[in-house]
Amino acid sequence: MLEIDAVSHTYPDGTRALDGVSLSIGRGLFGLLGPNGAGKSSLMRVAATLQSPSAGRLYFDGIDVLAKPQALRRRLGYLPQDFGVYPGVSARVLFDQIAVLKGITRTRERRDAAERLLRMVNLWDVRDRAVSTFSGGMRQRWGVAQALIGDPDLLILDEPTAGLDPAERNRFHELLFGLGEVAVVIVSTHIVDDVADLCAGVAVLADGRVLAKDAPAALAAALDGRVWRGPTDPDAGAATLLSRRLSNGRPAVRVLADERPGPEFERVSATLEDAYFAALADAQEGRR
Amino acid sequence: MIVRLAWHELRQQLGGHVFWIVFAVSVLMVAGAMAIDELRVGLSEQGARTGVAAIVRTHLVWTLFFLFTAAAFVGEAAMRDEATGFADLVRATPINLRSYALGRSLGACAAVLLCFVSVPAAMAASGAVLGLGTGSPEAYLFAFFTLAVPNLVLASALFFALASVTRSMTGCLLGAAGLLTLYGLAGDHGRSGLTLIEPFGLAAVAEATRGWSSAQRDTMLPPLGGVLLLNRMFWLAAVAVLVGLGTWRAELRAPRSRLRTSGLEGVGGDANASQSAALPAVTGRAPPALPASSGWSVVAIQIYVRTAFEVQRVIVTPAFAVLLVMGLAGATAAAARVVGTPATIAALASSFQVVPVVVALFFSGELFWAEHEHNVAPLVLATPASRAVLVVPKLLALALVFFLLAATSAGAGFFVELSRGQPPAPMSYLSWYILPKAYEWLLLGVLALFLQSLAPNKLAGWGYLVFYLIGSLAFSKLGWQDPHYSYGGYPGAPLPPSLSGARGVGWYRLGWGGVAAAMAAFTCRHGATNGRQDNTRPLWRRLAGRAG
Repeated sequence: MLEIDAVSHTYPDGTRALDGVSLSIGRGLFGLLGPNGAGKSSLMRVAATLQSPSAGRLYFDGIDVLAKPQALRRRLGYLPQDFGVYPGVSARVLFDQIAVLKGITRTRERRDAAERLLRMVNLWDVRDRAVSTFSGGMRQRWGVAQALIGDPDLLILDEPTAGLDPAERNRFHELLFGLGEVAVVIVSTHIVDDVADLCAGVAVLADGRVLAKDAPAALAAALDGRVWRGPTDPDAGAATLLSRRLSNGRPAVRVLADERPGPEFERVSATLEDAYFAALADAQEGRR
Repeated sequence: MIVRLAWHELRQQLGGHVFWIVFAVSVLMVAGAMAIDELRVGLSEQGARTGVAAIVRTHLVWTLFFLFTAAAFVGEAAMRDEATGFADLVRATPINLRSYALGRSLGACAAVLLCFVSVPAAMAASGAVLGLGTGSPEAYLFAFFTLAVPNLVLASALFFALASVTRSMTGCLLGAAGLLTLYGLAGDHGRSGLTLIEPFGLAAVAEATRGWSSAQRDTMLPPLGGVLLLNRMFWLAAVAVLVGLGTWRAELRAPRSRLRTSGLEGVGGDANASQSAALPAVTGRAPPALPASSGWSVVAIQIYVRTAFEVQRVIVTPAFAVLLVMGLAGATAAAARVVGTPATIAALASSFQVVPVVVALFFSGELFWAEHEHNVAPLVLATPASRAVLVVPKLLALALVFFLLAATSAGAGFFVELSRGQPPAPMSYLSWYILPKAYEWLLLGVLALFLQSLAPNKLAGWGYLVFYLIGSLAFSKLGWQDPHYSYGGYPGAPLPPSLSGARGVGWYRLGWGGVAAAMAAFTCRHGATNGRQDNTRPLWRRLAGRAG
C-alpha cells in the first residue's frame, strides 16, 4: 500500500506543482489522469524518490519513503516520461547496467532477466543493437523492460503507452493487468481509455490538486442520468459543457445537466471521460 | 538570413557564462604578463612592454591561446541543435541548412573576435595603469586586423569544418589540441623557413622584421607586403576552402540515429509472431530478485561492472585513439634521441605530459556528465545503488586509463630500445615510470572530477581545470614550486626519485594521495548532500540532492 499524505511541492521558480495531494493506493492498477501540467509527473517523481516534496509524507508498506529512499528503491520499478540512453550501447548491455545497479549481481541472473524481459517486450531479437538507434516505440518498450527488473512491488509508469503502436499497446495492457495482481502499479496517462479499461482506481489531477478519486466505474456512475449528447452547444443555462468533438464529420457535444438541455439532446451513459471533464470543469468553475 | 542567424548566434554566445569567463581570464592574464616578467608566457623579454613588437607578439601568441576558445564557441554553435534535440525542428523548416550552419558559425566567429578584444584592451589599460603608456593605436589596429583577425577567422573556419565533418565537439577540441601540440613541438626554431605555410603568421612576422634593431621593432610596424602579405592571403584562401567544406558537409549532416534506424522499424513487426511470449510478469515471476543491495560484496560487484562499462566508454573512442597516437609519436621521437633505460625514462617523463593532461581534462567532463547529458539519470537514480557506485567507477576508469597510457608510452620507449639492440630494463620501466606516472596522472584526474562536481556544467568544469593549469604554470614561473603546496608535487618532479636523487618523495605522494582521497570522497558525497536546486547542476546530482 502506498500512502501519499498531504504532499506539496513548489519549484524554485515558484511553480506549485503539487498542492496537498493525499492518496491511498493499494495493490492493483491505479491511474493518474490530468491535463498537461497537472502535476502527474511531479507526483510520480516524488513517489519514485527522485524528488523530495516541499511538504508531506509518503509511506510504502510501512517504509517512510522520504526517510529511507533506498529501502523503497529496492522494491521500485520506474519508467520516466522522458529518459535517454548512452549512445552506442546495446539494449542488452544497457539492461545489464541497470540490473546491476538494482543489485542483481550474479551474471546468470542478469542474463536470465534480460532474456525474459526483453522477450516479453519483443526486443530480444535486437538485443545487440544500440538503444540509441531504436524507434520511439522500441525505446519505450526497452524502458518498460528495465522497469520490470527484479519484479518490483511498486511500479511507477509515466506515460507508458506513449509511442506504442496499437498491437504493442494491447500487449502492454495485458502485461500491466498481470502485474497489477501482485504489485502496486501507478500509471500516469492522457489516454482515458487506458485507465478505464485497466485500472481499479483512478485520481484526476489538475493544478497539483486531486479533483476526484475513485474506481473508474464509480466516477462515471456518479454522473449517470446527467450526461446528455447533442449536435450543438447548449443554450446558456445550468448545463456544463463536457466535450465537443466531431463524430462521422458531425459535431457531437456532451454536456452535464440535471435536466435535458435542449430538444435535440439525448441522455447517454456516463463514461470515465465524462467524469474526467466534469472534474476539470468543476475545478475551473471553482477558480472563477 | 545569414546575417540574422549570425546575430542571433552572437547574442546567444554573449548571453552565456563561457564568453565572459574567457574574457575575464584573458584580461587577467594579459594584465598579469604586463606587470610580472615571469608571467610572460611566449613573449619576448626584450623591448618596451607596450612597444610595437610587444603588441604584435602578444596578439600572435594569444591567437594560439584562443584556439580552444574558438573550438569551444564554434563547436558549440555547430553541435548545440543536435545536442538539444532542436535540430529536427530546424530541418523541418524551409530554411537552407547550409545558410543556417554558416550563419551560426559566423556568429560564433564574431563572438571569438569580440572576446579577443579583451587582449588589446587589457594590454592598453594595464600599460596605462603601470605608467608604461598605452602603446601606439596604429600598432593595435595592425596587430588586431592583419594578424589576430585572420588567425581567429582561420581557427573558426577550421573548427567549423571539423565540427561539420566529425559531427562532434570532440573533433574540434582534438583539432585545437593537435595544432597546439604541433606548435609546441616545433617551437620558434621549427617555424623558421615556414614563413608562407605557418598558418598563424609568427614566422612571417619574424621574417618581415629580420635584422631590425630593438628600437626599430618597438617603433615600426612590420611591412604588410612580401612574405607577410603572401602568408595572410594564402591562409585567407584556406579559410574559404574550409568554410566551403564545412558548409557543404553541413547540408549532409543528419541525425545519426535516423541514419542507423532504417531497418529497425520493422522489428516491431514481429510483434504478432511473438504475441504468445509469456506476457504477464506474474506468469513467469522470478523469485524476489532485488536482494539487499547494500552489502559490500554487492557494492564491489556493482563498482566492478560499472568500471568496466566506463573504461570501455573512454578507450573505445576516436578521441582517445587520436590522443594516444599523438602522444606516442612524441614519446617515440623523444626516446629515439637518447640511449639507455634511465635516459629513455627521463625522456618519456618529459615528453609524454600533454596527453594525460588532455585525457584528465576531457574525459573527466565526459564521464562525470554522461548521465546528465544522455538523460540516463532518471533511470539510474531510481535504482537502490548508492551515489558512490555511480562516481567511484568513473575514478577507477580514469585510473585504469592512466595506467594504460603509462604502460603504452613505456612500451614505446621499451621497443625503441629493443629496436636498437639494447636490452631494456623492464622493472625500471615499471617502478620508475609506469606506476609513479599513472599515480601522478590519477591525482590530476581526481582533481578534474572534483572540479567537475563543483561546476554547473561540463564546459565550466573544463574551464576550472584549465584555469587551475594556467594558474599552476603562472605560480611555477613565479618561483612558487615548493611541493608542499603544489598539488601532486614532489622533489625532483617530473623525474622519479631514482633518477633525480630526491628524497622523501614517497611521503609527498602519500600526502597528496590523501588530499585526492578527500576530494574523491567529497565528489562522491557532494551530490547527495548539496541541496541547491538550480537547473544548471547535473540532473542526477540535483535529484539526489533533493531525495538524499
